[in-house]
Order: sequence, then C-alpha cells, then structure tokens
Amino acid sequence: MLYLFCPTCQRDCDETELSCGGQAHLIRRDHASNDKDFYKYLYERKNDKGIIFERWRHVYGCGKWFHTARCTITNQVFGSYSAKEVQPPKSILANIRRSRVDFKGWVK
Amino acid sequence: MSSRLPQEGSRINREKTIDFRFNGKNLKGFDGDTVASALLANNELFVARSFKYHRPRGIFSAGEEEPNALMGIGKGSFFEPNIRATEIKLKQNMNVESQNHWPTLKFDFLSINNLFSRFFAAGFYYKTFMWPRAAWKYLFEPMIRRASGLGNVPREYDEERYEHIYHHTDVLIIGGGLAGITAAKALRDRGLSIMLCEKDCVMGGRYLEDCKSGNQERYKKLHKGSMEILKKSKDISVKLNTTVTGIFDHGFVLAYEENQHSKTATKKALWKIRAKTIILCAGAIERPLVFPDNDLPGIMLAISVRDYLQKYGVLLGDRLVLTTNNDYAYKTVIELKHRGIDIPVVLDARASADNPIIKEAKDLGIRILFGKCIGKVEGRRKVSAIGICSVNGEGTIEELIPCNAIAVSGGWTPNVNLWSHCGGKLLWDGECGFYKPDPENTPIGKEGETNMLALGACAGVFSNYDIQDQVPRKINQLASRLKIKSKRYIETNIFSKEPTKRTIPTFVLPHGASKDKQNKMFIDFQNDVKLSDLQLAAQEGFENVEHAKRYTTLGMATDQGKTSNVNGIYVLSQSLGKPVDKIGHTTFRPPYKPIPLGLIAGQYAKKLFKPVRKTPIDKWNSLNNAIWEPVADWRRAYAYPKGKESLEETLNREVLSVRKNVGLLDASTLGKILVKGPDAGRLLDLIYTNMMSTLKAGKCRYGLMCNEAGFVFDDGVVARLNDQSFLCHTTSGGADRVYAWLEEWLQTEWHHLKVFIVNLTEQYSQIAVAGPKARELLQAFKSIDLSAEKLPFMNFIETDIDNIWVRIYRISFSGELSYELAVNSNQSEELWNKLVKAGKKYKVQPYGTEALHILRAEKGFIVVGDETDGTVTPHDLGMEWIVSKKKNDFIGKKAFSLPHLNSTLRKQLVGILTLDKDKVLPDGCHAVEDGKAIGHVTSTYFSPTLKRSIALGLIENGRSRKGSTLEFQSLSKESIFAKIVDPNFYDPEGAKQNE
Amino acid sequence: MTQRVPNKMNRIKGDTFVDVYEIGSIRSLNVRVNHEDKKSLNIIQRNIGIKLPSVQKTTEKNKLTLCWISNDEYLLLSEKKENDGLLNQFEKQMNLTTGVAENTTDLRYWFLIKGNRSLDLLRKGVPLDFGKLEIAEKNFLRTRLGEIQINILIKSLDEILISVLRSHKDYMIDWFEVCSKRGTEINFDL
Repeated sequence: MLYLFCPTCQRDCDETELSCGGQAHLIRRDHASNDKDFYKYLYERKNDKGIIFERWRHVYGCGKWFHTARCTITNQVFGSYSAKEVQPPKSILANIRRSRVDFKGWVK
Repeated sequence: MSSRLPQEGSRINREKTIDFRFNGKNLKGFDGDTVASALLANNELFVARSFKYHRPRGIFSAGEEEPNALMGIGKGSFFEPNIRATEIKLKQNMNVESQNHWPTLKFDFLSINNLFSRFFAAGFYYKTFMWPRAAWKYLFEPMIRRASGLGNVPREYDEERYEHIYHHTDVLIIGGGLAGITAAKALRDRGLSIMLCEKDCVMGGRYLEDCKSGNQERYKKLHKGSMEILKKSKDISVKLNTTVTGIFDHGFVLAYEENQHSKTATKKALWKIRAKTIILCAGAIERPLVFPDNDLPGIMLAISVRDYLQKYGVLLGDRLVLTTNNDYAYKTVIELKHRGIDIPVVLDARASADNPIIKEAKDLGIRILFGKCIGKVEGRRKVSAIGICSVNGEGTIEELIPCNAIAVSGGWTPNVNLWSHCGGKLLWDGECGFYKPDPENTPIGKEGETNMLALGACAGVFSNYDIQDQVPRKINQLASRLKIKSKRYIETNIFSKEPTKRTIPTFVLPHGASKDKQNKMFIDFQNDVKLSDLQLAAQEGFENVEHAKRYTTLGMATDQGKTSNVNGIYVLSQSLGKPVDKIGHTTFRPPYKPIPLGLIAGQYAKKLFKPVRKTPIDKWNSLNNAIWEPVADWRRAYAYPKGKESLEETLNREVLSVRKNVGLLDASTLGKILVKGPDAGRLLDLIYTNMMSTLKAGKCRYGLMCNEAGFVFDDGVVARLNDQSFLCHTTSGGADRVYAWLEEWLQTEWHHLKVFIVNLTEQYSQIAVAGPKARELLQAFKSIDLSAEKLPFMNFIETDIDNIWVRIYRISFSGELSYELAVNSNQSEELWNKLVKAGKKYKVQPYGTEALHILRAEKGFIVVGDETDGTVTPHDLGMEWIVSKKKNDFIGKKAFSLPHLNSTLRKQLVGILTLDKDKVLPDGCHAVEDGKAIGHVTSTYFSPTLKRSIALGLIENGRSRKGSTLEFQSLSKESIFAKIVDPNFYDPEGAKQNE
Repeated sequence: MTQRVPNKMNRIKGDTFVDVYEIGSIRSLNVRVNHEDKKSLNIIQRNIGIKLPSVQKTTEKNKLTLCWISNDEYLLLSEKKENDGLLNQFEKQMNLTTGVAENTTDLRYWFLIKGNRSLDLLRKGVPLDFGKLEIAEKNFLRTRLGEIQINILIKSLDEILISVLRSHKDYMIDWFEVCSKRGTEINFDL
C-alpha cells in the first residue's frame, strides 16, 4: 500500500486517502485537433514497466491534485510535484537518474 | 500413550483446572494450556483426518506451523473452524471438534480413500475435468466436495469483536526472541519510535529453554534485565500475542493481535502499521525428515516434543525414538532422559558427529546409531514400533523397535516468509539446507532504501552467542546508515561460544526408498502431498517450481508449507536432476498465517458496514412509513404507503396527487455546487454542452455535461445567483463525481481561470412543491407573490417563509406547475412540517422517488443512468438543441464531429406504447427485429395519469421508426408488441409547467 | 440569513473510555482565497483580523478559528453568537472580490471527544501519523475515517473536535458507540 507525499499538505498520505488519475502530463486535444491526435488523447496511454509519471488527488484531504514519479517494478517513488507542471521538474529527473543510470528521461 | 507429568510446565497453572469438551467428551486441562497440550495430556493423540485420504493424523507441532490439528472451536455465533489447536488457549467450557470425517473421527467412512490412493495422485482433480463430460458433474464433483476439505462454515452471525488499529512507527521489530530483544535495546534512546510484535504471550522465544541447566540463572538474569529496560524505555512499545501476517509496499505491515488472555471477551485486532524500517527477528521452524509412514499420530517435531514437556509438562510418549540429521535435536532426548523417559534409540542420518552434545547423550546411556533411519513405522492409528534401516539403500529393515512416540528433526528452516512478501530475495544455503535472506537484495521502502534487516535465526544465525554478538553490531551499522543519533550500543556477551551445531542436509530417508515406501512418504501433511506426487509432477513435465506447486498443491494449504516447503523443493530438484538453487522457490505471499475473515472486516460490519447518508427530512420520512431506495450512498423515500395500500395503489395516489392537487418531494440529495469567480461563466461554458455564461442573474437553465468522448455524464439545472456566482445542480448520485470533475479541470487544465468551487450539497436541503395547487399552497404563507409575472418558469427568487430563508426555483421535473424550495438544512425539517400543515387544505401528499420517476417518464424527461449508460450522446437522446453550435470549445465538442457518433444506426431515444395497454414491459427488455436485438427499454411504468403502460427506450434509428410496431422480448420468452412514438406522453406543449 | 447554533451537547451513551458529545452545527464559513489576491487578503485581515494559518494548523482570535484545509481553502469557525454580525459583514465584502466566503454552517455535524485517550479512539479509523503532530499548536486535519471524510480539530490531546457531513451523522454516532466501548482501549504490553 503506497504512502505518497502530498505537496499541498506537506505530509505522507496513505493510499486510501488518495485517488489515482492515471498518466500525468496529458495534453488536451480540443475540437481544432486532428482525428489522430484526438484519438491518442482519448484512448492511448503509456503502460511502461519501470518509471512512470502519474496523477493523484488527495481526495480525502486537501482535494488537490499532484504528480508523482514512480517505478512500477519496485514502487520506489522519486518525488511529488505540482499538477500545474507541464513536464517533470529537473529535480525529480535528477532524482531518478541517481538510482537508475539507464533512465532515458521523460518522453512526452 | 501421551500423558501429563506430575510436575513441571512453565506455562500452566496447576491450581486452576479447566473443563472442556472434545468431540462430546468431557476433558480437563489447566489454565495456560493450549488446546493441543490439553488434548495430549488426555492421551488424545489421534485428532484429525487428512485432507484427501482421510488418514489418521496427530498433533505434529506446538506452534503456528501445525499442519494436522485443525479444529472447530466454540459454538453457535462464536464458532470458528480451522483453528490450529497448537495456538488456541484453552478456556473454561470450550467446545472443540475435529474436522473432515464422517460419521466420527475414529470410524471415518471416507478413509476408504486411502485404499484408492493411487487414483488421487497429483493432478487427479484436473484430470477429472477431461473425460467423460458428465462424470464431472454427477460423479467427481459431488464426491470431491464431500471428501476433501477443512471445517464447516459457521452457521450463525459472528459475534466476535474485531477491530482495526492504525499505528505509525520508525522501527518495527518482528519477534521478541533474543535477537528481537537485543535489537530493541540497541535501538533505544536514539529518538526513534520502536514497536515490537511478539506472536507468543511471553517474550523470549527459545533462548531461555535452550540453555544448559547450569547456566539457567545467568540467562534468567539477562532476560529479567532486558524486560526491565524494555518496560522503562518510553520509545519502545511491545505487543504480545501479535503475529505479523503481511508486509506490503512502503513499509505497510499487517499484524494480527489475538489477545486470548484479556479478562473480557477475546479481542482480535488488525494492526495496520506503517514502519520506516523493519527488523525481522522471526526465528526459524523445525522441519521433519521424510520417511515411510511419517504421518502417523505419535510422530512429532523434536522441538515440539520438548516444548510440550517444558511448557506444559506433557509427555508425547514414554518410549520415544528420535530420528534426526543434526545436533540440536539431541537436546530433546537429553531432557527426556533426565526425566527418566526411555529412549530406546536415536537414529542419526549422518555418518558420524562430534559435537559435545552427542557425548552428553551417550553418557546418559542413550543408544545412538549413525547412518541409520526409519524404514517403516508400525501401528494403525498410532505408532507402535519402528523398523530401523540403513540411510543408504532401499530400506530393508534390520531391527524392529517397539515405541509409542517418534521425535523427528530434519534441521531448521529460517522464517523467511515476511522477507519475501515485499520483494526480498532469498539465497540457498547448501551447507545447512535452507533458504535465507539475501542481504544484497532486500525489500525496499518508498525512497528505494533498504527497509528490512533480518537478524537471528531467520537470517540463519542460530547460536545465542552469535546472536548477542552480531545484533548490536548490525544495529549500530543500521543507525549510521539511517543517520540517526548513533550512540554505539555495546552489550557484554554472556553466552559462551559453543562448537557449532551441525545439520547435514538430508531430506528423504532412506535415500533409495522403493516405490512402495515412496508412496507412504508424506511431504505436505495438510494437503496430503506425497513424495510420489512430486515425482509424478516432474515426470509429467512440471519443471518450474511454481507449476509443480500448483499441480501437486504442495504448500498451498492453510499452513502455507511451513514444514514442507524445503523438503518439497529438495524432492523436486532430485526428480528433475537439478541442484536446489537452480530450481528456485515458490513465492511467499501474505498472510503468513491464516486470519479470520471477520478481522479483515474489522469494526466495519453490521451497522458500520456501509455509511448510509440520511437527508435532513429523514426522520419525518421514517416516521411516515417511507420505504427506502438506495441512491448512491443515500437512502431516499421510495414511496409512502398508507394503511393497507398495495405499492401500486400508493404510487397511483402519489402520482395523481401531483397531477391533480399538490405533492411534496424530499429532493435534498440533489447535488448543489457553487461556481464562483470572474471566470465562472467561462468554466461552465467549457463544462456544459450549452451556453451558461449568457444566463442572467435570477434565471435558471437546464444543462447537460458530457465527457471528452461525447457521452452524457450528468445533467441538472444551473441557477445564476449573481454576476460572479452560479449554483449548479447535479443528479443525486453524481454530486461528488461532478464536484471532482470540475476540480480536476480547474486544477489540472484550466488553472489560469479565476474560479472557486464549493460543494454545497448538504448546506441546502431541497423540497419540491409540485402540482396545480402548488402556487396556492405557497401563497398561503404571507407575503409571497408567486404569480407567473413575478416568478415565471425557469426563474428563482429569494424570500422568507415564516422567517425561514428560502430560495424558490420555478422549475419542473414533473411537467406540472412546480417550485423547488432550497432551505438551509438545519431548518429544512421545520419548513417541511409547515408545508405539510399548510398543505392539508390542498390535499397535499408527500411523494417518493418512484412517483417522481413515473411523473418524469410521462413527460419523457431523461434520467442520467436510466436513459444513459455512458455510451449515449445528447443527439441519441434527441437533445441536439442543448449542444451549442456557437461555442468555440467545450468538453465533448470534438467528439460530436466524429462520424460514428453521427451514424443513423445509433440507438435513439423513443417512447414506447404497448399494444395491450395493461401490459408493462419488463425493464431492460430487448427490441428484436429479424432475430437481432436492435435496442432496449430504459424506463418502463404503468402511468396512473394516462391509465396505461408507458416506456422509454433506446432503439436503433428509433426516430425514423415512429409509428411502427416492434417486438420486445425478455427472459420470460413472451413477446410483447409495442408502438414506437414520441417520448413525451403528457402535455407535450408544456402548458402546465408554464402556467 | 438567520443562523442557529445549537449549544446542547448530547453525550453519546455507553461505558466508554473517552467522552463523546454531539455538538451539532457550528457557525462556519468556507473561505477561498488566492494568495496573490491582495484585495481578498486585506478583507480577511481587516474584518476578522486573523492571520492565515500555516499547513494543517489553525489561527484564532475572539472565539473565531481559521483552519487550514488547502493552500487556497480555509474553514472559519465561530463559537460565539456575538460574532454573527461580523461574519455577515465579512461574507458580503468577501463575495465582492474574487475570493469566496460561503456559509457552510449546516453542511457539517460536529462532535467533541474528551479524555486522554481521544487520539487512541481516532487511531481505530484514521490512517494519520498523530505522533508527528506538534501539539503545542492547534492542528486541523482532513482525512478519512473508515469510508467517510472527516475533519479533525485537535485543540489539545484530550479535547478534539470532529466534523463529518451532516448526512453521516448517524453513521458517526454508531462508529463512536462501537469503537469507544470500554475494554477496547489500545494497549501495549510492556
């Protein structure tokens, strides 16, 4: 059972306090987008084995969304950051590289 | 014959006799006994029938590893099946029953299975599926169901008390033996919170009982000193009777507290522990040797023989043979011999051994035979003699020795289960013959750090000297790694360094056992898995250990293979001709030992099972005979039957009172979400399919929201309170969902918008006053002018009714002249009562959710969740008018342009009128055309207003089918024919609601 | 809008190891403010004169308590009838800005737990680490208890205010009755 840091409440939260919102940093495609991009936005999600970036909401607490970087194999967490970030902050990426030398960086 | 010695027993109080019943027999034990020790004291050796073959089985151990002695304990609402007799404390008048036999334990009809054992070999169960087909249903399944299995399911509601407790700690120490105690002492005073869980009711584990009698005083002093330190240390919390059963991600640990000693009822608690660092001191479990007939009652683990002797003063037999492959087991026979028990022979599988303990045994006059083992055991229901044979060879009996008990020891298996639960890897130690934790591949915590350390016997360190030597050192290392206050901890080792006690890894004896003997060698007692089964699995190609496990069910019983795992893996490696470390091991999974289902529920049973949300008018509803309907977590009044009315009559009355006079509805559960800020209109324009920003203050507008895929998600009336504020009403079940939806878009996509959202669902209660006399009723209260000029349809005003603030929306979900009154929840009951009182003159009737649904269906209004199922667009519902063409962007806009959402083959909302007007279509039944389902019924009622059956449905290309007749089929196979019409059966022009 | 603050406190019955009282409604406002919105911040300062609390804390003055819910959300509680005028004024002014002050008095139902085992009682349902709290200051925590959301205002170790949605009132009373029975205290053995 995960224990994730909520950047708003500044504390670790039991997984039962949170709800998961899937892949982070999705770009919304509106009516002006082409069908292919829209299809990808609606239905295509990454399913990586290893490092993923995901969204969580502290639904039982402050109600705020945040992002985390997590390894799906070991459940190691590399940090939480604001849901307003459009890509993972440098500090998080550096944190990942420290324990995963082969980490290729964040891919859109 | 097993019996109780006249003195001795560190756990029992001989002053206090306890009466209990075993299979209807009245027996006596002492306070402090376990059920197992009390049974043994009463010479009850044979206590169970095995799982598959119904072979007689006896108590095999003295702890949680027990594979045989599973009992049904208690009676009625306190009955619990499958309890290990070795773990449950004896209580006055306790009822104990053995399991898995018919009619009685001694004369079990199904023991006939034993004679046909070759049909029940590994995988027989799967083979019964193959052929012939009918045999499974009529022969195999009924037979297997009767024959196999554990105890009976309790018949009554469980009255036991269960609880969940959360606990957070810096360090969790699992096990209160020498390693655990030393670790706790070494960690104290460093600013850490430390919790220690010990499964037993006393601290100390094995080390006190293991010492030589001469050193007892010194060890006792050490123990006493340690206990005082633990007691004094404010940073250390100790839980006894608490078994850690599972370790999960990020240091989450489940522990099962079973306090059988409390003065009140047994308390069972599930501790949900979050630990930063876990120190595993879980000890080790002795494993048996595998030899022919090794499952007869009277055979027991050597350490358990000693436990019963020292802790309970109980003797397994007065003529006991030990078969072993290690030095440690000699302690058992030495202790027995000291008490004058006859030890005819010790069979040591090793060629020779030179530990001083062997000399000690020899000096006591014990006959020791090296290179020998048991070739057969005589006795039908318990041991009567053994046949000695050579370790090497096929097992020819050299000598027959009468005896009534066998102590068996095949060495020790470290308790590594918990290490493995959350990713820790294991190493095969070929020298000692066991798996131990791999210190290089530990379980990790949330930051990827090592979060578990194994110490003592569970790490393969068995001697007291080594433990007291290593533990402080390892704890000091841990402290500096964790960068915690690192005051070095030093402890003088009071144990003397002894020559290593050796185990020569042997598992199956004799090595060249014949087929006939292999057929009687049991590896997993609880699942009746024999040596021959594992060999068969290997032969049939189950080479992977995980496959062989599932095929043979080795280690899959409730004991999780605690005594059988290593032996099983060894046999598999032999059969496959591969070394053990190349075979791998099966995965250990939680729980370490079985926990009751009630414990998982905790206090959340009965009235706490599920939160039921109640409206502010719930008390009135309840007093007025409401029958309830669950709507999301709410309970809502479904209808208010009067006297002897049938439900049909009630609904008829409620609907007609709205159509003819006036009705009151408790609509408090309706979602109410305040959207406030300079950009509120912009946000709502993005959320709803229609335009909301143009709505004028004081007015209401119905809105529909869709998801990005273009499917309807929720609906409701939006009221503009002022320039900056909108109050959005949602469906009852959708309030939390819509609130979360708005927050999500606002926080993660449109965070530049200056908007705040407040979920006010429960701040306001809502009362619908609907019917032709609604206006009269409300105007009966002074000062309210509700004329059509003052308050036209889809407008609202704020006013007072008898000093109660109300916001009156003129909206209608019934098609009648209708008002909905929002009131602060604390005053809602008061207002409701006033309306009921004032309404008497107008024959006001409260109406429930079913009448509400009938009324709206007569008008053809949709209900999200009835007419929609997550795949329905506004166009499908015939609501193109609500999808804005002017707006630049909104959620769903792109999807509406996709071709498949505009196909004429999509199902469209239509009205359905049965040809036989009294016939009501079954809900959800299908419309069938040319043998193909082309749609289904979404709402169906008998309309009291129209005095005929009406329905709404989604039918392929339905709008172009108006006027045609379709066939509807349901499970009853009866066809009902109905005409497709416009989905608006009552007052289509809307004259009434606009009155 | 008229307000009612019930001040009767029903003791939840039974032989319990803590005392639990039903308080009912407490006059309260949901306050939403963006920290860059100087105008709203000024109004809070001018009208109620309380500093915004830091994360999971409260600030108070004149029986008014401002509780931290999130970085833009606060709960203002008033335990004194005399404050009503002040609050009405504040509500009006605040709603002219881009912030929010919305009456939520009727939204929640409040309970008071008294006794030195109050936190132990909560530990039976709340997944929080109470050991990490600095008890010198009053803490305000929002989390879950069993399946429902709960607000916890820790005034001191033996005085804790709890609130739940009003619809969960009966469920909460049942929970208190089941979990606070004497004989079910959380104990350690050494």
